Amino acid sequence: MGNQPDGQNLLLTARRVLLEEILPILPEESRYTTMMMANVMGIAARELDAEKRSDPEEEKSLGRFLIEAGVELDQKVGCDNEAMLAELIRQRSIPDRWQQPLAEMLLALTRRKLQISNPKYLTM
Amino acid sequence: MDEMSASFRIADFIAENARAENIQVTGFTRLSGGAIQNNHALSVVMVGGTCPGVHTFVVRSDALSAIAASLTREQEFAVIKCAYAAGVTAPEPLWLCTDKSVIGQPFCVMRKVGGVANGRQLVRQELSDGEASALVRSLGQELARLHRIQPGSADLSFLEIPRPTAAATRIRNYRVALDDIPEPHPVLEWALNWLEDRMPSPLPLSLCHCDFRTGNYMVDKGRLTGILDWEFAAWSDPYEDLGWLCARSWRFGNVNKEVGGMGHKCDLFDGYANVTGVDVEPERVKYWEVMAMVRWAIIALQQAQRHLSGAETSLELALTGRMVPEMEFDVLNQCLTMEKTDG
Repeated sequence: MGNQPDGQNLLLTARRVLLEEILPILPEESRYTTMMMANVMGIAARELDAEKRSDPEEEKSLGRFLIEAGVELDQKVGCDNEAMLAELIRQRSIPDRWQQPLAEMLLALTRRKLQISNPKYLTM
Repeated sequence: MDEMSASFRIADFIAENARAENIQVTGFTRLSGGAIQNNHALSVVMVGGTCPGVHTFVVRSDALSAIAASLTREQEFAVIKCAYAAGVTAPEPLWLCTDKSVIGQPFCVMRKVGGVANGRQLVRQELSDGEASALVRSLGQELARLHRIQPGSADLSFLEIPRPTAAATRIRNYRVALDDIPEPHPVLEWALNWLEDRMPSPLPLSLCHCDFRTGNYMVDKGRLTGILDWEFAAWSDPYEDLGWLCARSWRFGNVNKEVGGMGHKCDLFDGYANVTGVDVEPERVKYWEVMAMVRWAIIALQQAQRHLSGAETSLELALTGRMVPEMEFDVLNQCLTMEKTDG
């Protein structure tokens, strides 16, 4: 365990001070920038949290999809799975019968990214 | 050059073109918006010449972050003149200065129109249903008037003709743009395949604004007063403008009002058909909405790159980069819903 409070805690504490104590005394024209600052601090905090609690099953799911869809992973050792997926889609190398699971995989991937960048968007 | 010297030099340029005996600057303020252009409001009093009296103009010149894909001021001025002459509610284009010795870069002068353009403010305006419906209908009419301009009918030879079709050209260009982004984007790759597989039969090319969305038109007391920001105008499929205006990304949180968060498609399509005499095909609009969201995602990635490369360190550009999953989510949902509807 590293130093405490950790990065996520520091960011969230600073964000709360920014919103509760600083924002009310700032002029109206600074509001938008301040809200953007609070927004990026929230994203960074959620990203740190996700890294801390990364689910190995989730991480493996993309690799497993690539294997099951018939991609020989060992040919591209060291290549990032998401980059490989992008390349395979561009090349149209994913068989037709895998198109439905592919769409589901892409939705799941995007949901995970939204959990960090803007979780509220998932319920809009 | 400081702002005050620039304002005097611009005023001298205006006086010369308006053959005024005298011109006095009474105000020069920077206008908000426009990441790509600098816009200033210039207030003057002129004596004699072709337009004596009190005037407020908008002076538009290139900003720091001018991007290669956009038109030059000279080209944009020609497009606005053409649109204005066709009856489109663009700000009246008055004078163009290509002589860089005046303020260091080309600029154009247009008549200032009143109202609000800010998207967040506009969608929060309390318009009655009737006012919103009339406004959205007028947006359709404006687009239809603009789309009457076709390659053969206008001297805009600097605009490229997309070949073989507008949709195919867009898809090709977006793939090239993605190649320049270091991190992978499988969802956008998937969406480009989807768009390629479902290209609708092409329509005759029209002059398209290509950035016609809430935020780029002015509204005063519920009425449209001016269409702004013409720097991306191009010959394209007319549905590209309809798709961009309706894309979910440009509703400023008002997701149930499909036309830029302001109103409903039935009114937009009605206004459009009223001028063209041809019904709008809703599925074509939806196709171009997907194209629009992919385009916006790529623009957002490019903006994030400007921040990351150090070319323009900016909180807003950085945050725009992290909005991409929102666009990707909307793209996926819309494509999958359209697939289900197709059966």
